[in-house]
Amino acid sequence: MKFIHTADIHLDSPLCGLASYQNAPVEALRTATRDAFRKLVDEAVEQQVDFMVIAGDLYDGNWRDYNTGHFFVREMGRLNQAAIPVYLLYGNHDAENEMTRRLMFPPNVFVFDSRRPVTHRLEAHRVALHGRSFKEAATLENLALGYPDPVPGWLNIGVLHTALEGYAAHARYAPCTLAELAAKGYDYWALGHVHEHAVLSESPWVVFPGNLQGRHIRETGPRGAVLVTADETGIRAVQRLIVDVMRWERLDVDVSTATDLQGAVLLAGRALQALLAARSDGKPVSVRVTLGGRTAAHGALFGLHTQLREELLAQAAAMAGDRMWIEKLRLETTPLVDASQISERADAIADLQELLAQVPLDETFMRSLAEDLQLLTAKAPLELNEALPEFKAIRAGDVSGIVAAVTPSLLARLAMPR
Amino acid sequence: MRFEQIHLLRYGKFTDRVLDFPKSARDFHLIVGVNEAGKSTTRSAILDLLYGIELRSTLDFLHAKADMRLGAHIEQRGERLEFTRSKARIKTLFDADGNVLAESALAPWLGGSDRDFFDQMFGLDHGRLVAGGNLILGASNDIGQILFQSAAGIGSLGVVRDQLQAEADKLWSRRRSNDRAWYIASDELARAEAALKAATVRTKDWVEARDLVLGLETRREAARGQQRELEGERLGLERVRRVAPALRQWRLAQSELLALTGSVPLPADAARLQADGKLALAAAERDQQLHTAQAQTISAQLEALPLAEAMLALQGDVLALGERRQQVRHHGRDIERRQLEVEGHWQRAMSLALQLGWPAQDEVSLASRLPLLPARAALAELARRHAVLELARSASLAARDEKAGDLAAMAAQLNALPVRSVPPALRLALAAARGLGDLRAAARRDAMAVEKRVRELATALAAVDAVGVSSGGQPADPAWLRSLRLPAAHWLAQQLQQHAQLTLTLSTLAEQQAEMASNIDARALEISQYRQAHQPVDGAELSAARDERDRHWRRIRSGDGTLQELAPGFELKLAAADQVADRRHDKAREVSELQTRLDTQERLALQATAHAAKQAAQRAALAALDGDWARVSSALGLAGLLRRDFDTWSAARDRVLLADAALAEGRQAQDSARQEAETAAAALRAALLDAGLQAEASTPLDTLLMISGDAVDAASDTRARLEELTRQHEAAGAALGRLADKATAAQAEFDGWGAAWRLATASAGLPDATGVAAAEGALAVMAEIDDQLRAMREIRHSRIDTMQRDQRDFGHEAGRLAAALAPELAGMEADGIAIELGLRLGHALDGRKTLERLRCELAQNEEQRATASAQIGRAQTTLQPLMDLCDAGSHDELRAAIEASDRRRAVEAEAAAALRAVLEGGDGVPVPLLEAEIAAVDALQAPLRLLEIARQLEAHRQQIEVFTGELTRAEALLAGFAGQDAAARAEAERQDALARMADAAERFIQVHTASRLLKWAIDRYRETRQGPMLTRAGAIFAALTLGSFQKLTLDFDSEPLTLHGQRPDGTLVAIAGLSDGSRDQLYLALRLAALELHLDQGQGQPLPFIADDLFINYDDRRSRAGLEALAFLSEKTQVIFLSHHDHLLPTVRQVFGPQVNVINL
Repeated sequence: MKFIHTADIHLDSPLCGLASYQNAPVEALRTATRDAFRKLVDEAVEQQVDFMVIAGDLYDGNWRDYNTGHFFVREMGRLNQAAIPVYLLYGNHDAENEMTRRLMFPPNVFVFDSRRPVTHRLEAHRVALHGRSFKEAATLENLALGYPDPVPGWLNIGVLHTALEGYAAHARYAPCTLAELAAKGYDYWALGHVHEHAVLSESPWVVFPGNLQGRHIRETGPRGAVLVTADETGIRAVQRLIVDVMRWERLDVDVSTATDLQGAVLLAGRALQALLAARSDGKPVSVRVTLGGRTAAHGALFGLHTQLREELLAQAAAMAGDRMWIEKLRLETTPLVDASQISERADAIADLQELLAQVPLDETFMRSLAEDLQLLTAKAPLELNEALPEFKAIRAGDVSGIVAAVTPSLLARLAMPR
Repeated sequence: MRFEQIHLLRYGKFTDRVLDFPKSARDFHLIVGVNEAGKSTTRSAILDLLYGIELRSTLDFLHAKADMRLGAHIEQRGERLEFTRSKARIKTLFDADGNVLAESALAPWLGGSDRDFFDQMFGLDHGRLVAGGNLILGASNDIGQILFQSAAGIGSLGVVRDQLQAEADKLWSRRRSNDRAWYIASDELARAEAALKAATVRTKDWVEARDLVLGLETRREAARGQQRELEGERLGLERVRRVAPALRQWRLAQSELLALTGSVPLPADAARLQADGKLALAAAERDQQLHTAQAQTISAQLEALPLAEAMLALQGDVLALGERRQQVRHHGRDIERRQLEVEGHWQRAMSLALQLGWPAQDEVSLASRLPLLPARAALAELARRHAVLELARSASLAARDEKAGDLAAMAAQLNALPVRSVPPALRLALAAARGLGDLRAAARRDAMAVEKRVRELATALAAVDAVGVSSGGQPADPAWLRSLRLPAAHWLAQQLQQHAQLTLTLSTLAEQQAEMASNIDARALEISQYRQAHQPVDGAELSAARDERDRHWRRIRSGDGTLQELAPGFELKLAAADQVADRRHDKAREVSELQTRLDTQERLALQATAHAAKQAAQRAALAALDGDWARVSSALGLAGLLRRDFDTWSAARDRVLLADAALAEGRQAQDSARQEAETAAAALRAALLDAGLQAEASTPLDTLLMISGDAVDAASDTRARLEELTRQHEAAGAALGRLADKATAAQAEFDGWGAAWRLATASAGLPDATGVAAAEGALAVMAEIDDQLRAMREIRHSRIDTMQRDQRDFGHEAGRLAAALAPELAGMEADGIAIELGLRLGHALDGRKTLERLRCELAQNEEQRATASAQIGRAQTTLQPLMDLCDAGSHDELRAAIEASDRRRAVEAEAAAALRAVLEGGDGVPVPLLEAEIAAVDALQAPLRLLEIARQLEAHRQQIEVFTGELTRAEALLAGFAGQDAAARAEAERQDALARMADAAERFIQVHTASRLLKWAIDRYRETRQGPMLTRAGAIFAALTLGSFQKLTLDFDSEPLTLHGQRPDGTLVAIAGLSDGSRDQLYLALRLAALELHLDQGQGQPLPFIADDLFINYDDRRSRAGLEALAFLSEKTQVIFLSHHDHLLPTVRQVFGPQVNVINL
């Protein structure tokens, strides 16, 4: 007997932070979450699993398009034709979405009640699935405590959407502890809510499958569900099913040996090539390239950031066509000549450095700069406040961090040899 | 740091070359070399020495990269370092003993400099000078930029600022523009949001759409049911109308068939078969007769036709004879022309033989008279060598004679050279005096240093006075300041700390006091508002009401009035007191609350009182502390000095004491230098007198140096000239001997040639006295005779003989063929035979072609006759079965049977068609039922009923159409909710636009901040640097322009400030108005001024200044001015001047003195 455990599908949730450009695989990735889910259903049909468990967060809470639900129902219809039952539990995102109450599922879909814990039984396999959906997003009570006792002699699976203790990055919904789950006496806990894949325990099995598709640079690496195999003695194996259609990767490139922009581009190109060579899955990849290191090219890179980005995009296009997307290029290089060395030279650049050190003390200038930049932030959509930490500082009138970050780059740019 | 020596060990074109840079007061060194002498290599070597040989150095054309070596002796404040530098990735530095030095070993000598910094700051060449001038022009509106670019030696400031501004402008600006990245993305965001809104389907929308579809489907189905009922009735009526006539027709056909029962059925095409058979039979019989007649005619023609078989058998030979005739037709004329050519060659050979003096003879004799080829070749070779040998002989004799003349002239010069010398004492005294350097410059420098220190002292004293206190109201002086005994630092620190603590505490207490007062006021206001809002009754009010009541009661009891008089008042007071008591009871909670608030207010008042007492105590402590400070400062004579200003004052005092000490030191150095100069002058004067030269006691040291220098230089020049002449004389004697030997050898070779010539002319049959030119002419004539004879032989052999052979062969072949085919032609010319035989062959071929054609026609005719016979048989066979079928004996009987058969078939077809129409129009209803249905319908009423049904059907149809249209739209709407991803895609596009806005914003923040910072910093740079730098640069500029400009000034009225050159008459010239040369000079002035200031600051490491051909476009006066500017700089740091102009040398000696170090590459 085998089943698929998935969660945090977030259908139609967009990929964030990708600024398109020529040759970027734009259209292919607009529907990445759908494509990943479709692949999962393909896998279920192909592998002829006995049932599927969805442990919450089918959609994004604020997503209103009913077509998303329709798509989900259609995919459930495919599973129905393959005689695969689905046990669906609503999470915090589903609870606040109006689609949840209106969707009419095919007969193979069984929804966990949100008012009390319920048990769905599969007589044929002697499997009991216990679970309780979220009634509202902000469910802060420990739902696991109310789950029923295991059915003796059956394979007992607890389905729960929870921020298990220790996952501070996620909202603390339906909190509980590993010990509490273990104390229930179930064989397998099918959890959802945490987007990273994790097997927290093997006796009993406590598993977060992770989300199906990474949606931004904080969700790197392969993504998917888990395929669980069991027999009359219990769970035999838990195996990952990778179904994502594109990956997010961070690529840190040390350009300390580069002396100019072309040198840095060459090194970054090699790193991209190595990244591509190390990948065998052929999936599109969105890469955040971060150039670092103490380099003579620091000033050039700062001054020619736009050109640098274009060069890098051209390299990526030449190497991988539309299989690689440069999500963002970040410069974290430092100048080869540090502040103390510049001071020691006592030349005009040193004088300039000394003067620039006084900038934060010039309240008039700092206020004027903040007002300049506030003109920009005032026109920006609120979502950019979350995306750009600088915006918060500017709105608070504090530009000292920006000045401190820009000053060394500016000096290095000025000190570049002709 | 300065160079003492640079060793170009294996570098570029140099091998083991050492450049010396001896130290002097003005550390200036001139390196002179023509183009390609190695100046650029030397400049590159300096950089490679200090910072490593470049990885891709191109100076490995002589020494391989791995072998490249440089070395140097460098010196800095008395310390020396000898090192070598090799080309390698690691371990490139070695000390004098060959030990590896750390790569950072030079760092203490180079300060924080790197290669680029050194090249920019301490390197200047003509190209940079011009570029700098252009940069000044480009930045003419920004004095800060000009100063910074000149000081830093870089030109990127303007470019960087422009780039930053341009990029920022492309990203974002307040003004909306479709070219700016932010607004492009912003527009796309708006579009994506609109698309998202349009594509998003709310759950409610879907439910409504689904319900609408269901409703419309139900209504349309009801209308369709009614439509179907009416349609059934209409179909029945239509069937009756359609089927009734056909049914009647079928019945009539059945009756006629009964009458035709006896006729024989024949095929439907029997009539056509009979007609076709008769026609075919007649045509075939006619063809048969025609082909028989044609066959007889062709056979007769064949028998009459002749055939020339012998001619046809030799057809190939006759054709070949014709072709050969064409080939030999012109051979006769050709042979005559070739014989004329042979005659021409013979006439030419004969005329040439006459030129050699040979008598007229035949062809064989003439050929035998020609000398053999080896003899003619030997003679030609000797003639060619004659000119070479003659030239060598005459040239060697002339060179020998010329060298002998030179030798005699040198001997005369040597004898005429005078002898001069100076005593060693004078050389020693001169060297000692020169060792003191440029004494005037040193004195000037010392004086300037003293003046500078005096200014610094005054500045420091002014800073002390600026603090606001002084000794007894007089300006401060160093002695007084030095005499002061300042309080201990820890005491001062303690005082400051206590003061700060007390001040802080008082400030905090005051804030707390104010807060308490504010709290108390707020409480009072609250209580007041609470009273007004809730009207609570406190105990006092109740007591007052009861007291009033009791007072009235006491009056009643005391009998102050009658009961009737006092009772109403008492009752009123009683009621009032009860009312107050009731209210107090009702408001018990409010009363309690009011009391709580009153208690709080009282507690706050008590706290405020205690706080005020604490504040008073702190103030007293602060006053005591201030008193202590006032006593101490008065004791120091610094009454009025604030405690917080004491540190500033103390620092200013320290600067005064330091400046005072520096001034004393400067004055002492000035005196010491003056004394050294006087000693040197006395020694030089004594030495001159000893050498017999004039030297007065009043003669200044400069003059003494010039006199003694001239004497020493004259003696040195004479000695050098004598040595040079002697060396040249010896060399000329040796050369003369070598030239005499060469002349003798050339003569001997020429004589040997004469003997060989005589032998050669004899073997060629020429006279003994034949000269070279005559022999060369004879050889040419002989060669041409040889050519003519060879041409004659060639024409005879290859042309004439061949054609004659062809003519003979043609005649033999013609005769053979005539004998075989036409004996009557024997005796004719071969040409005529060939033509005749050709004609006869043509006739024979035509006859054979006609025979073949007739045979073919006969065969075809036979085939056509057989075909006609076969057609007759087939026609008879076709008609016979029909006649047998109806037992007809003739074609007429057959025709009658066919007509009866055709009628029966037509009636059967009519009956079948009528039955088919009934069946087709009867909708599958059996015939008996149809007949019953027809019988049941009233034929007169049926049309009216049909019209009514049609009207009702039309109404239902329209209704269904309406429902269908609405349902189609509703279904389309619902179908639009089929799980599409349009909204998801729009959201993805929205995120895409947001990301691009984020990118644009991030970059804008960076570049805009950088742009603002740059402008701010450059403004500050100008404010702090413009004074000293423009003053010094103005002085240099005035000197470089030879007084054409007096100084540099700023136009403070312009915004931004602009730089001008000021003429001696006060006229201001903007930078744009300066000539190209003046701008270059301005840039040089600014660079030198910045460098001097940099060195004066004493923070940076002084490094050698490398000037590369700076004065290419300067005349001598301007060059001198430029060199004087460099002379000033050379007193602060080493200056190495590279030039390919050796004409600069006198100017350099004038500026730096004759002892200046000059290196010739």
